[in-house]
Amino acid sequence: MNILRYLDIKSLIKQFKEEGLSMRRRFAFYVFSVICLFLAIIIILLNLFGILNPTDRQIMNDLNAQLSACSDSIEGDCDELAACAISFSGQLEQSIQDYLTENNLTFDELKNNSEALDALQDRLYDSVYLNMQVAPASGAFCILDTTANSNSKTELYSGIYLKYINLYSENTVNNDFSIYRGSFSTGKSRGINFHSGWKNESSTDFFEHCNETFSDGTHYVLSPASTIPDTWERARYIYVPIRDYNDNIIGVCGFEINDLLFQLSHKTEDGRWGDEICGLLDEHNGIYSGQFSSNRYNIESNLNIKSKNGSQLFDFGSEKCVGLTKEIMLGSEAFSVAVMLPKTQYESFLRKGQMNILLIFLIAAILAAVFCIFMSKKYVSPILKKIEQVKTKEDYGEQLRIREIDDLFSFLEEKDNYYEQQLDDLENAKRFAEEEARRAKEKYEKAAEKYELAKSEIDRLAEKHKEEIIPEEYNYFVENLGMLTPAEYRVYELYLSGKTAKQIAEILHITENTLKYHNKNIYSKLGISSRKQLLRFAALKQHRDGKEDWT
Amino acid sequence: MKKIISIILTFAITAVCFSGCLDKTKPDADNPVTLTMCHVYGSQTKSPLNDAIDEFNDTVGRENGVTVNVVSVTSSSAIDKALFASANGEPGADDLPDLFTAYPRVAEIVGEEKLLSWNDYFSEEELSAFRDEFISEGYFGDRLLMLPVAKSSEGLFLNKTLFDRFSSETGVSTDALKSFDGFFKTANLYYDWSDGQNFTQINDFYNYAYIGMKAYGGEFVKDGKLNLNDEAFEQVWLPLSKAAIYGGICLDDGYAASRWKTVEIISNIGSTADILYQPEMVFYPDNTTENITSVSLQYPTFTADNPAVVHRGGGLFAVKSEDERKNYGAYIFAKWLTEKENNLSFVTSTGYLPVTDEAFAELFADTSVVQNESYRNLYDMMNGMMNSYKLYSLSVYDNASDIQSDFEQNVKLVLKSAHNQYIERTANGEDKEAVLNELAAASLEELKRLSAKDM
Repeated sequence: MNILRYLDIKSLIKQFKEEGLSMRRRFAFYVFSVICLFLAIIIILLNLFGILNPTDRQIMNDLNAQLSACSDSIEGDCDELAACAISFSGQLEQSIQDYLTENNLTFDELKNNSEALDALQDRLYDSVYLNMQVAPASGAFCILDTTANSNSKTELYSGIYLKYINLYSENTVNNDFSIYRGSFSTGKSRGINFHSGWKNESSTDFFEHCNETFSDGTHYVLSPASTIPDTWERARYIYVPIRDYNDNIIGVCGFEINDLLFQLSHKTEDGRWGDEICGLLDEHNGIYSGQFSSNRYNIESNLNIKSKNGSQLFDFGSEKCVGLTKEIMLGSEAFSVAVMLPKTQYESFLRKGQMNILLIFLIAAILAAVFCIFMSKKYVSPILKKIEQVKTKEDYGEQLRIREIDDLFSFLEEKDNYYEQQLDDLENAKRFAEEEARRAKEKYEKAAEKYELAKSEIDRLAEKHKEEIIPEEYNYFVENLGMLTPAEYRVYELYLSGKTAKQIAEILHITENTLKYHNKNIYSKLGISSRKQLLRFAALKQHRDGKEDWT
Repeated sequence: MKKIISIILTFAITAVCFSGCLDKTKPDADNPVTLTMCHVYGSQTKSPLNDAIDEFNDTVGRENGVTVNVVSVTSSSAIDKALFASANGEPGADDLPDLFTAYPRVAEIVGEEKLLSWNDYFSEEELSAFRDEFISEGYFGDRLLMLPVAKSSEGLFLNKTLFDRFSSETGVSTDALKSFDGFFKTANLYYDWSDGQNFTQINDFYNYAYIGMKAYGGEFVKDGKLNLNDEAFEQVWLPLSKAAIYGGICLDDGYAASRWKTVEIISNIGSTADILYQPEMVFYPDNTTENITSVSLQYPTFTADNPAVVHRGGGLFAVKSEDERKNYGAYIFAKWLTEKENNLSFVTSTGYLPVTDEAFAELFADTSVVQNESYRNLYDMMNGMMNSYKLYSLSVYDNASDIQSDFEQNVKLVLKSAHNQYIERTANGEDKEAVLNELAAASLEELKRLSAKDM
């Protein structure tokens, strides 16, 4: 519920708008804002000056270190293999020459001479086997530029190619091995396992560019990674030329580095960033392929590399990685060493890093909020206490020793005194006015009492007159009053208003005779005999009419 | 103060909620695991399981943060050797792989306590989908340590091209290969016809003896020991030994596939999965080659009324890891591999049998789903065997691995020695039949003596 209450920002804003912010909240809000602003500035500055070292930078630093280590390791391994291959080549050159000399043959005479080639292979076998054992390789081979069957549809080359059946570690010594290429008799006579993809001769493209490749003093060649024919394996070959006494290239020998050996030799430990992948890449027309320390990437599909903000994006088609590359020279060719992380993994660490910074900021903000709440309470509480004191004791008490607040309360005290004085004056005036009103009321009540008395006297007199009047005469009077002409009625009204005959004649501009004429008509129409009777009936009628109006 | 406490509580609850979201026991795309694996499902030329693993890595594996990294495709004996070296910390040996395929005997080598119990991860319902006879092999007590992923049986593979040549000259037909009697006679005939070439190789003499004893009503393994003194064993042994001493059967170590390639043999009895290794071309010593066709035939019978064959093939083991994500990752992979579609696709490209009832029924309801013709021929042959043969699994007992390999070596040693004696004595003019009978009987005694010494 608390969470809901705190999250109900809308109602809080509404409340603030309606009620205003308390001094404490206002204080806490201002201090909190200042702290947050300060924190944000610190983070931005740390970021700008690189002191904060965000996850991305840390990952790239670590990948960079890993890249150096991998490059050194790959260069070291290649140098070692190249040295072994050069020594291997020397041994083979000597053995071939010895064999040819002993049998009085030239190298060209070996072609289509399966017997001689079998015998030569028999002599070369030990060198191939021993060098495979010595070198950190998954296989060793010597391929000669000759064949036992030149009539074959595909161009074939005689030679021996031994491969380890299986590898369990980068230490290859004493593993079981098989003959992958070589004559039937060589394998059979030694009881060697024949590889599932065994053939007696090789069809390779080693010799396509051999003369050009090694003509400029190149010591060794590292081939691009490719599928080993008749197997599911991929490998690179490191090879050197085998020469005759005339320095003609008569074959190549070297070692196989299959994907598994590369993996085992360059496996990266599970570091803080998870599985880091090391790869040795070769580029062809902007498209890369290569060998990787994780089998997941040792596939035939080509790889695109894009540079982005100092790092590289490795696009394997189905998956992307982020990392760094470094160019190294192996033999006379340039290769790229790459160290990378799967993009999803990389982004996950970035998110975690961002979350960590956010979490630190959040913790700092929460601590700041707690601090602000505490401080605001401390800061505002004397004021609240003073207000409470003022409210309860009606006294400003002792000073707070906070100058602005003390000044405010002094000012308020002065104002308070001034308003109290004014209040007293107003109360006196009020009391006087109330006294005056009371007196006026008493006078009014007495007058009203007199009025009531007079009124009741009139009523009493009217009742008395009523008793003196004969009802039939009065009724006749009332009924025939409407028979009067306007002139007669005017005269009647003037009588009622108390005017004398003379005054009526003057008012109506008539003669006394005319008046008498009107009097005579009035009397006869109303059935009265005197002016006194006329006035009495009229008064009674007036009295009754008035009563009817009142009711 | 109440407000402060409520704020702190709010923060604490939020923190707990956040920490709760991070499940450390299961891998995911953000926290992936890589499982190393050694397996036997493939040759150096082709590995359908590798293809299946690539598919897993690209689909379900990627979604769940599990990558299976195949570090070795080799024979079961090579895996046994490597696991022994790893388990015993031999110099140069690598760590145990996270996953490996092997026979039940390997549990003893590695140590049962180091292996993952699949039944801690698979539900009862999931396990009930497997074929009973296949899954029951994997239980060690109440722990399922070996999960069946593909099973095989045994059959007879024949180089039809060369056999037809032999057949046209001798009149022997493949019908003769239906029983072991005919099979051994044919082997000897071929030996004579080919001027001393072996006709066949029996990959596992142990399995031959095991099924033969069953067929004759005996038990090859009794109380954890080989029961060679049983009369039934003599019935099994004598025809084999006579053919081997005569020369019809290859007694050298090594793979039959290599000998097929160099025409040292033209047939072999072995796992149905051997089809993966059958070459399409053979090489002659004079560097000439020849394209061949092969056929799969039913396992020869010992007695016509009691045909029997072994069902073989190991299963998938996982090494128990302290990282629970790896254990769960192994389960995700094993579950994917044994799902009907994936399992069928994998086994039908290796010559194996599917491991769930549903997949099994679907395959044998219509074998035309198998694309490759020679594989379809194999499954038709297996379908016939499934309907008429009794299937036996090999018994598991203490030291089974050593006893089995010692038996193989002893059989080869004894018979090779007898063969050499036979060649020598018959060259000196002794009666072939008498020498053969004598050496066969002697070889049996010698085998018993050697086996007793080993035990």
